[in-house]
Amino acid sequence: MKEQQIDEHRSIEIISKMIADTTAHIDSESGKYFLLWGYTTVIVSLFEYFAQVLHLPIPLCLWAWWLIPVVGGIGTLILNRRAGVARPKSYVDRSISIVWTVFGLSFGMVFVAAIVYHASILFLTALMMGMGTVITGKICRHDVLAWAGKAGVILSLLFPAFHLVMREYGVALRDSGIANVEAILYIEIVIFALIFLIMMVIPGHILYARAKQTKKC
Amino acid sequence: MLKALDPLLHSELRLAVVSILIGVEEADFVYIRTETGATAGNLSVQIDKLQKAGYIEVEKGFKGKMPRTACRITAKGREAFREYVETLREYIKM
Repeated sequence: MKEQQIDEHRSIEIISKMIADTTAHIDSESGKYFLLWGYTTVIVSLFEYFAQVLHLPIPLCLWAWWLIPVVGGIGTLILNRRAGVARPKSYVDRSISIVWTVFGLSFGMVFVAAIVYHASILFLTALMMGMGTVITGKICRHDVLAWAGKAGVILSLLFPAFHLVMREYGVALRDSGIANVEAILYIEIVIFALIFLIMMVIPGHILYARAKQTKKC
Repeated sequence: MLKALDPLLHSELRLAVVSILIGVEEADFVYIRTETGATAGNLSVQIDKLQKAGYIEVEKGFKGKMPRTACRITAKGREAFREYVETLREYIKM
């Protein structure tokens, strides 16, 4: 691009292209963060499920959950650094950053409270991350993300529903010997992985693909 | 009678710079150079013109050990861009 006078149609072209490219750049970045956290959660959860079902040593299983914040946190730092100076900062970026900082800190407190009160951390995690995803989708005006977040919030209700069903029929199932109740209980972890697949991985791919497509145009 | 298009914005590179900045809080010199495909020298001159007109703000500093130049659009620049687009619409309608 050079310093030269242009006609009206070329002006419109330049404005549209520059705005679209910058938006695509921001979108592709947000897609990457959802893919990072989504895949990390799904993989660690499935590892947890198989570790529990296959009776791997318990300390190893419990520690594996910590891989989510560790891998996600380090990955986020790497993505931030890679984007570095080349990434334009938008108002949307700042809003999203504030939303996730508040949700992250609140989640830390909820996590401690859940341990103290023996509450279901899987339910609270899915619920809070779903809420964060809905807000992010609304800020970015990405319907897919907003709907995925809403799906996450609604699907998080599967945990209390599952709990109620097991409380009602768990003893009968164990006594009848029809099913391995212990293995059924771990299905909660698979539900958790499934929620993150729907809530973060799928919309992350869609965002990333859309941004790439816009960039090509 | 149609209004004249703002000559400061009616140039390929300067319009591209302002179009990038209109949608973001700030953008780095390196990012603008990559997106516009302009040479560093030419881009510096055009950014300087926009800054002198009060359309953009330029902040020079360091990120770690690397020098960094951040550009932001001002309220005056935003208004000029809005007017430019309005006038452009009138031209296209004709």
